[in-house]
Amino acid sequence: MAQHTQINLATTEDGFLKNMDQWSTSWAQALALEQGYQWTATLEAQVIATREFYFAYAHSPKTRVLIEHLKQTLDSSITSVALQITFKENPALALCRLAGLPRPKQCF
Amino acid sequence: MEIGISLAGSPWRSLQIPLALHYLQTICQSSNYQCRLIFLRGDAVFIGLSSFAAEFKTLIEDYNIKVYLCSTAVETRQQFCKNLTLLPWMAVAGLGTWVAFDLAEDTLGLDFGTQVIKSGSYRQVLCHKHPLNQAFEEDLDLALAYATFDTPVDLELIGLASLIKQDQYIATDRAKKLASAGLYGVESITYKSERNWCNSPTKVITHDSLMSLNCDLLDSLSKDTQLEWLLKP
Repeated sequence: MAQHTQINLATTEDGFLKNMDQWSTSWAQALALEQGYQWTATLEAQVIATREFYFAYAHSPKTRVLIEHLKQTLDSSITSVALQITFKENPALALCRLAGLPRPKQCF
Repeated sequence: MEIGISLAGSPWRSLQIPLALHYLQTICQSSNYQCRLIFLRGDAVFIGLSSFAAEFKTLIEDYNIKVYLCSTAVETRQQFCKNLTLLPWMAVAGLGTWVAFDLAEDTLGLDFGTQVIKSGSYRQVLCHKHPLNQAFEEDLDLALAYATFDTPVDLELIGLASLIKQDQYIATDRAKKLASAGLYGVESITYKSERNWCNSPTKVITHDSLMSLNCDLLDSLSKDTQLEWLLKP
């Protein structure tokens, strides 16, 4: 079981929070900084929107549907390319990790 | 033509598996068709534990067929069945593996697990399962997967499946997931009673006709044929 170094919450081997009830904005902020992301108002809004998706639709989103959700709820100009550049990895994985959600399933 | 077969029904409770084996043998013995892959979804991932395992293994080895197990089905069932171990001739893959094969121009995907009406690239996924049945979610996932691949897809919830809109199910995770279908690109969700659905004017291939299958029938299963599988998992 991996431990998050800064605030010591249990995570899976690939960094997803094991108990999503432990999530807090400060934890997400610390994780973002540790992973080299700047914690901006935009990133915070994206993380919150990702959590809202999970609680509305009962599953962690994959990139394509997450982008559609972010477009509808935050900014219609959001693109997958821009998110890919921001996160340097699969945006859905990065945002779900920061949002304290389970890893999106591989299924599709 | 390259054929792929998807199965979702239980090896112990459904007619799908023996029917599919019969079908598979027919395809394998044909010079015009080649079965390239079998995609096991739902309870069909248990096939390696069933009495069909040996026959199935022989066929796939003799004809060099790839066998994939749906990753979500495996993950879901491993929580309840520790015996669900992967055999060497099985690989785990996402549902996208099946959908990509089915949608390719030079292949034909035959889904024994979920009733899918095809017309060109259009797909209509028919779900008859009760909202509390895991298979309900697996049919929903199939519709979402088609939409993710830019395929125009409609989802029909028929009979028991249409109960999902009732108050006692509206707060369930499956109802919530269903609510996200529009974000995925599913074009419409319709609710029908079993009676209304049975009256719809689509071509029906019955269980009896499938059991007496010959390769001529394969020609009628082109992607432009509206097709309803009457085999319920």
